Amino acid sequence: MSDRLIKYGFRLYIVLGFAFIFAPIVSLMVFAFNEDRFPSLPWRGFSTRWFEAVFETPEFTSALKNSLVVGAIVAVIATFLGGTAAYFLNRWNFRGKGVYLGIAVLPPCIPLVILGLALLIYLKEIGLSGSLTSVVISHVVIASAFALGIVRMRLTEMDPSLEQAAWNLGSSQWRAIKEVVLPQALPAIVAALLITMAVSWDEFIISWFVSGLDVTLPVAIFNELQGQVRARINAIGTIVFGVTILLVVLAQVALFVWAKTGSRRLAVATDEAGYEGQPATEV
Amino acid sequence: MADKAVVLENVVKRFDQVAAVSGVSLEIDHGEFVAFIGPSGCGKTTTLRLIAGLEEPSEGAVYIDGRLMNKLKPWERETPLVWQNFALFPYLTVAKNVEFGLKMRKVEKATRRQKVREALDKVGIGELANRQIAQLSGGQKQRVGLARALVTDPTVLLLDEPLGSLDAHLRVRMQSELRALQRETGITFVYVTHNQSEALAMADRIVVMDLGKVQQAGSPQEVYRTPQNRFVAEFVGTNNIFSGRITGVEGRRITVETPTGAFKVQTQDGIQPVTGDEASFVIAADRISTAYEGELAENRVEGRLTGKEFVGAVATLFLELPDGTEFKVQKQEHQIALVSAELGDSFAVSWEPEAAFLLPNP
Amino acid sequence: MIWQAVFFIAALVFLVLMSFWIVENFRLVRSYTIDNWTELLWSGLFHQVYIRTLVYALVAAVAATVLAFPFAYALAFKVSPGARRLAIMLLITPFFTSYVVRLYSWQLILAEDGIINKALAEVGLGPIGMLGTPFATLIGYMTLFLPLVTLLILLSLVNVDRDLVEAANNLGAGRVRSVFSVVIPSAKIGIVFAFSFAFILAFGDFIAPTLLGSSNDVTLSILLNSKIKSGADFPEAATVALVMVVTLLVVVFAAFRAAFPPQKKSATPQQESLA
Repeated sequence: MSDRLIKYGFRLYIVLGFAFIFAPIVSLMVFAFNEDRFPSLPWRGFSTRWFEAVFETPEFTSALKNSLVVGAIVAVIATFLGGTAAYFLNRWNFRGKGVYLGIAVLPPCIPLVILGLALLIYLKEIGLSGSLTSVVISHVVIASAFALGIVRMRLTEMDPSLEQAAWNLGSSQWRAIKEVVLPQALPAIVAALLITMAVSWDEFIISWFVSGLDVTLPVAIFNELQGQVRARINAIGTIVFGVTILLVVLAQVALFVWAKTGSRRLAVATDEAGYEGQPATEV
Repeated sequence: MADKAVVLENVVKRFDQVAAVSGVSLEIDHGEFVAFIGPSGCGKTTTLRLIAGLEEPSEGAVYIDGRLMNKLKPWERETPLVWQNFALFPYLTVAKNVEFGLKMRKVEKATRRQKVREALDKVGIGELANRQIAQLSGGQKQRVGLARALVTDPTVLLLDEPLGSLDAHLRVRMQSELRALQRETGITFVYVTHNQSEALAMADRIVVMDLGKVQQAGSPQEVYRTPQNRFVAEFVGTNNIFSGRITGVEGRRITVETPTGAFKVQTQDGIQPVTGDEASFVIAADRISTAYEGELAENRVEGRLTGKEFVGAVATLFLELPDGTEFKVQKQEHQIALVSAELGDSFAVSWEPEAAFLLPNP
Repeated sequence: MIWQAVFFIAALVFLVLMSFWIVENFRLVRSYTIDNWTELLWSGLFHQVYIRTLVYALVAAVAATVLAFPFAYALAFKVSPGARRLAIMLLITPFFTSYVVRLYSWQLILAEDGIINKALAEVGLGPIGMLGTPFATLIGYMTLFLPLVTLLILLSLVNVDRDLVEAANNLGAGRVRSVFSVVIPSAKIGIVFAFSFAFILAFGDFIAPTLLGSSNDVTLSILLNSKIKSGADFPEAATVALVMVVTLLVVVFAAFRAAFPPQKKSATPQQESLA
């Protein structure tokens, strides 16, 4: 009766919510394949000509290349920094730990415009601004917080006694990390690489402030938006979405599917008690 | 029907094809203290939740004060619950927790405040009114939960293992307080517990449940001394059960031939035992005399002592009979001194035919 | 962490310093003066921009929190755990996609000849001008943080003690009443967090007002951007930035304070001996 009505009402709300969130993404992808130059219905026919046009535009292709390169570099550095920070925070208690943690996760919380301005001024002062290097530096500042969060989450799920067992059996600290911690943290590390790359790939505001002649893709797109020709943007936007979605979905798969099955095998192999990965049950 | 506080009529509750409650019919009088006991999963908590409206019956009817409750939501009923893990609102003070039910019924502020004060005094925590929940001990929290349920002057109070989270000493004290409270207020208490002695101590009537059905409902004495079926006999008290065939009938005294031996049983009035029938009888562990106490009675067996268990003032001896069955003997701790057997020793035990009880439903 | 110290903290410190310097003849002069500050704070135009930004951000944050709540509630209580996990995945993914591109997409949807107006035309309704209005800017903000706000609220809703909801129902609280008397108080921290994040994001964003709003509606972030891109007037920009930071801190602090007022000490300090 009315209970069921309420339940369906809520589900409708969920659908509406997702419709709002995905509307811009889906509609853009639809238009990117539209034969018509003007992005509206009715659809005139399926076509990939806009994608071809994109690859013929040097602004886009160079920006694309830049974004990929920057993204990859940022991913590696940020994951390394964030990961090691996560390890230290997890293993050891030291004075000022709270402060350390606070500083580490602060960057994403500050409005990007303000952070962008601060970085711009500072990098200019020390002569590192106006190039892709400055973009890399800035992105690492933000992205490492994400890497830290992801790896830390995974480390807390891990059993600390495994590492200690390794020490006990004669392995040095480095060896233990390599043999015990890394394999288990691998899903999280991969996820962190993917997510930090996604963060860098889509980051606009700071790149907008900090970069010079060589720009990343989001900046190129924004520049283009001030111009006239628009149809290509649908295509490039779809590419941008596609890459991000791929990265994020893979990251989630790594964290939630790979991680769970991996540790179950590990638990069985080390003869531990059953792995608890049960989600909360519905009442 | 209006003269009964709670009536359950063939109530069935299924969760995904599995029946947690399968056909429970029960009538509870006004002012009665009824306790539901049974093993985990027997359906006692589900039955309580059906009365509260937190579950809807799949079949059957629930009446409270003569009104059909099936379609009424929990907030439309007046069946406050006292919860095992208290379920106190952590962001409200004690007083605000207690006044919650009154607030929902739109009682005005002055009346609310007074009733809250009365309820808190009744359970003995008047001075804790403005405390935060986190500052309270387990026993205090339980009292707050009780006050919260009582403040609306309900006719039926539901209690779901309320003393389960308290330590043993406190539990015993709360038992007598609850009993006194019930007598004083005259509220119908419907009480669920897995602790037998608690139920036996407090309740007017005990309902034994298993597999979603009522196995027996009766006074503590009835349930303890005259179990109606094997389950109740095994679940309540410490009993030995023998099964066999009736081989002789002499008036009310029958002989039952069992794998362990032939025993004489004095049957109760109204039973017509027939030779050749299958029969089971119960002999309570505390109605056994041992060889060390003097002459042995009519029914006797000999067994090897395999274990002793002390639970405060009562000690239980475990014997292994020749055919392998376990036999329990319960004595007061000071009587155990008489039994000078060591583990592994054999000795004889016996009982009178009158002490045994023939199960109506073997 | 050295990286952070070198690049991040130093940058912020510099920002503060910068606000006290001035630009003279397109050259940076490092004398310490509060001219920037006085000029800015006394400017009527600045006040206008400030108020506008503040109002927009507050409205957006409130709207997002209110709209996201039923969304998160439905996901927390009305769907199966499997569906919930899928929904979470679907909420996380758009969070990382390019904000600029999504707003561009909204431009297309909201345009005079965009999908919505085309659909309205089919039923004979006139075209609604949506671009270039605060409404469009609001939609832009929503696109930015609706998933995040929903996730934050969802996270704290999932941890609400279901027993408490049943207890409230048992004591007479109906469906709506129990949400307000149990669910929301229990999830307070998540809700305040969500609101704060939404506010911070809306306050600092310049893309939504630029792409979707009208060019007359200048926000603080647009002001900041223009000071940098045209004239490289870093000191003034820095001043604006610091004003923003202070505002953010004040608002967030106030929000948390409002939700978690300091508790009065109990009137009776005596310990209860009754167990």
